[in-house]
Amino acid sequence: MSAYDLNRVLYDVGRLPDPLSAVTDKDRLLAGYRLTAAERRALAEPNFAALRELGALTNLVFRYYRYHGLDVTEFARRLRSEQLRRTTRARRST
Amino acid sequence: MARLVAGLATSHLAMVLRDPPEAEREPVRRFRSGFKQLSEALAASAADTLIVISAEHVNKFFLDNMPAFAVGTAESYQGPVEDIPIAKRSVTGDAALGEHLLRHGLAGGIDWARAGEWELDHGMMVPLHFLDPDGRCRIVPVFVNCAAPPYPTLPRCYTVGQRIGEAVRSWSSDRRVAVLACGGLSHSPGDERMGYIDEGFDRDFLERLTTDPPSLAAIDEERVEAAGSSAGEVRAWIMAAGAFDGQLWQRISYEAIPSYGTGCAQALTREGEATR
Repeated sequence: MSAYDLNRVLYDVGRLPDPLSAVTDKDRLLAGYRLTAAERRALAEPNFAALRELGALTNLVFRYYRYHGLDVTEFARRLRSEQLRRTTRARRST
Repeated sequence: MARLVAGLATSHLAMVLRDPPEAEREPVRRFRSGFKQLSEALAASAADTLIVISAEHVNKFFLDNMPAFAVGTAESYQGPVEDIPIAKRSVTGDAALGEHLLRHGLAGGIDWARAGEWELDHGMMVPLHFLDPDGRCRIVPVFVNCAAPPYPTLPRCYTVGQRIGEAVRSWSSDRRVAVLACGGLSHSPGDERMGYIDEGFDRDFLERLTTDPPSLAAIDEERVEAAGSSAGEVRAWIMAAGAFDGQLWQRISYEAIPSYGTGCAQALTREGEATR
């Protein structure tokens, strides 16, 4: 299924004893998952707009955002900013 | 036979457990007082079992095995699974009613998934915290997929609700059963619309619930999606409306609360209420 493994990472991290610590070591967190390069990059940066575009479920994306200790009131602003950067980059490359 | 004595519906956001900014204290107070009204109605109904219908936020059900609908058949449940400011506790299950819903559904065209154990998330535990903090009622948790598309259609949700109502009323038991629908209304956690509240959608939804509940099933699915990534949690309300099949609901509250990013609402119907 499309984006299954991407969502699998996001689901599994929430079941770890300490998700906030787990996301600080992305190499270890992502080891063993069958991810595309784009999925791995979006999880590692992290880039939440890219996660959404790659098919991550909204509830899991928001939870992953919170595990990074980021301000929840800034979520939408950050997502829109990331989307704008991705759009600009895509236009430049065409 | 068992009786369906009350229907309750409420938004289930965990944010309501936290104090709002000064400017929002009054609408939050009104919304919280709605929980008190629902709690009093539940007590007055003398219900001994609550069928709790809710979305689940990919805490238990995942894409490896995602049902459209599931019913709990356990003797007890734990929750909340998340770290939110209410104590984790055990809630007693009504395994006999869960089993009856399962069997009645399978015999009548509703292919329930069975959940023999379940750590409940805020979707059910926040409403239970306000409405039945002492665990006076046993519960039967019912899951409807509103978090991982594709979703069950709104007409199907209404039909499943009708079967729940039929199952209760045909059950050879002296139980007094209430239905509690949890979730919605418009909100978008986890997407770029987070914080947006679609008051037009919310008010239309509540208008239908209070004047013409079967018409909830006719709402355009795209309109629901446009109202927010999690506005589809109204499926739980539509199932509850189906259980009372045409019976009118009373709006208890509606508050669009910006810092909660959610159209917060509550509604109620009692046994014997007028039908459309």
